[in-house]
Amino acid sequence: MAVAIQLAAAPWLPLHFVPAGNLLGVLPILIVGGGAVLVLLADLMVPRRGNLVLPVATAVVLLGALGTAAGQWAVHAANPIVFNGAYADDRFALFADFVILITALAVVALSPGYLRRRGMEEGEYYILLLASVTGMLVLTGALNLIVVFLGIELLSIPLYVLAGFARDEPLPQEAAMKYLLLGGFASGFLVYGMALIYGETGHTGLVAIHHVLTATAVSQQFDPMLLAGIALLAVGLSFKVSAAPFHWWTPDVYQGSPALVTTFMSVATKVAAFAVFLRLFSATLAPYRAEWQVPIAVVAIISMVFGNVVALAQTSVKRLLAYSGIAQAGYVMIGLAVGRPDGTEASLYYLAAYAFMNTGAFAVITILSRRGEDCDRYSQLSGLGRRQPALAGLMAIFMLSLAGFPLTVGFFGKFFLFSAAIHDGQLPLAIWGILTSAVSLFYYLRVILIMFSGVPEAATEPEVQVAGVTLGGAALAAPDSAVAVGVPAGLVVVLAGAGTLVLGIFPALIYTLLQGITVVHG
Amino acid sequence: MLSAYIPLLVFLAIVLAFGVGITAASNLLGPRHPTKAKGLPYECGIVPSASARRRFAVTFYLTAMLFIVFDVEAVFLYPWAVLLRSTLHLFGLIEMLVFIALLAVGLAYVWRKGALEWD
Repeated sequence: MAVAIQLAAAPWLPLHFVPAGNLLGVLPILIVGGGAVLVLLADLMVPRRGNLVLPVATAVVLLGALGTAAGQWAVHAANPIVFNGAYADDRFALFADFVILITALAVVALSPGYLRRRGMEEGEYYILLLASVTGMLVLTGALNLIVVFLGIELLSIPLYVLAGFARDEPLPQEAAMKYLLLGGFASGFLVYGMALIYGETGHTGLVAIHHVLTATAVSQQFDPMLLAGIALLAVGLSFKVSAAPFHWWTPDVYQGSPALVTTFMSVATKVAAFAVFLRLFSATLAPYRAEWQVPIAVVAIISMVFGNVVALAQTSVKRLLAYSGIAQAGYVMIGLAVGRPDGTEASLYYLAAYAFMNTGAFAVITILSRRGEDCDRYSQLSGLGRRQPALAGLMAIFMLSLAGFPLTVGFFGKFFLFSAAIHDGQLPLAIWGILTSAVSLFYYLRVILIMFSGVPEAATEPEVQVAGVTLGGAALAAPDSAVAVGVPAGLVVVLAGAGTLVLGIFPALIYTLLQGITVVHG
Repeated sequence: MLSAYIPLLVFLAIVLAFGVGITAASNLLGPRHPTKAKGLPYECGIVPSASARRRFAVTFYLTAMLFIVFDVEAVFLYPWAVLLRSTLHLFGLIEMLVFIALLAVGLAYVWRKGALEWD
């Protein structure tokens, strides 16, 4: 920073390029992006496997970005737009940044133990994670279609690699390939939509587009090409948030990817993609709300119905959580379809709630995963209540919260969304939401039932012995003895559980943050 | 507004008709005396020695990928070098140094990981 300020005094420097405020505005991105480079260099210096240098360095980078973002929140810049209208560090972006960075921190805390158990200890894991987080931070504050696309690609490309990170197993390879091909396809939709919108408005900046649309919306002459652009944009983003009917990649990718990558993918990616979805539709494209509201609402209803009904038939835990994720995307889209500030607030609240409960649920899955195989069959959960009552109890809390049970954060998340829909007069959205929530109870409760009623899985399977050896005998000495939960991993699960409960009793803790949140658009 | 694109549509139609027409005309009107030598795939005038559908070592792809990265760097460097003194000044120099530093980190990475070894 000091260098930039000093140089600013020199007359031969084109000042308008980089005033110091611009760099301050994107400081979290710079920290995470630069951190990725430093972690890469650290990986070259300390090639020895299994040490904690890389995870600790990654956590420090993420904490630094989190602290900077908190500072930006506290300062609350009067004009958060930087880089000539390409990026905004408004409170909307910062709130999404918080959720993304905290989720990433939880994932990093779970990583060393999980990677060791699954035999995937490679430094690239942390580098790719940080690169993906960089893309997400770019996305939350993007104020230009080009920057949106840049952010989407920067977050997706590392994830394609991470999805196939368990290189010697067939399912992750399939997952990575499917994610890459379908992700590229979705990016095509997205960029085509952007091209059409640019073609009709003559701008890529969201602020300028908003002004053009405000002017044309008054005349009530809706251009078919512009509408096609908006539709393509919606398709591309629906793919990224895995909303039905654009969700076909989700179950295979979520099941095939290593459980911890799925955790990151299902929470952080969804938050980042919804952040840009909300900004684009609720803010930039608000003048055309009458045109896109019904299609978005239909996608929300299809997601809720399809995700919840198909989840009933699943026999794989990860697929169950994938379909549950599709349904949860549908709930968040209620707030998107409502479109007004209370809809945006409800969506953001639900995303924060989702981060707590879904990270927690997946964290339990990663803790139970073994070499060569993630915890994916119901039989692996059966009897967990006896072997590991604390872990099973926390998992039960996450399941109840995902189902929207009172006294959990999921209840208030759904409450705010449904009440926003009712206030907006969109009764069908609320009714479908409540009906499908009732359906979802069945499969969430089944997980709890299996954990607390079934007998522990027979310990004759070879992977148990392998795990016992790799963990230095710390894990499974006897067939139904407890799984060793590392301190950081345990902390993540306990904190996620505490968050789920505390925010379920005091929802105002987050909701007051969201009141009057500013979304820069025009 | 859509009517502005009609010339484009007409142009597209002409292009399609021209392409199809030329190919069809040469197929219908041109004389054909096929021999075995004429039917061979053209490989710079050298007689093909084996089938083209064989497996290549994966190192070729790795090398090609690395080449593209540093080739793109060179593509950026040319216009930058032309404009450096006249318009970009110190700002451009710093920007390019950051860019090259990032690529250098990438080079160090592939080097250290052994991606530059042929075996």
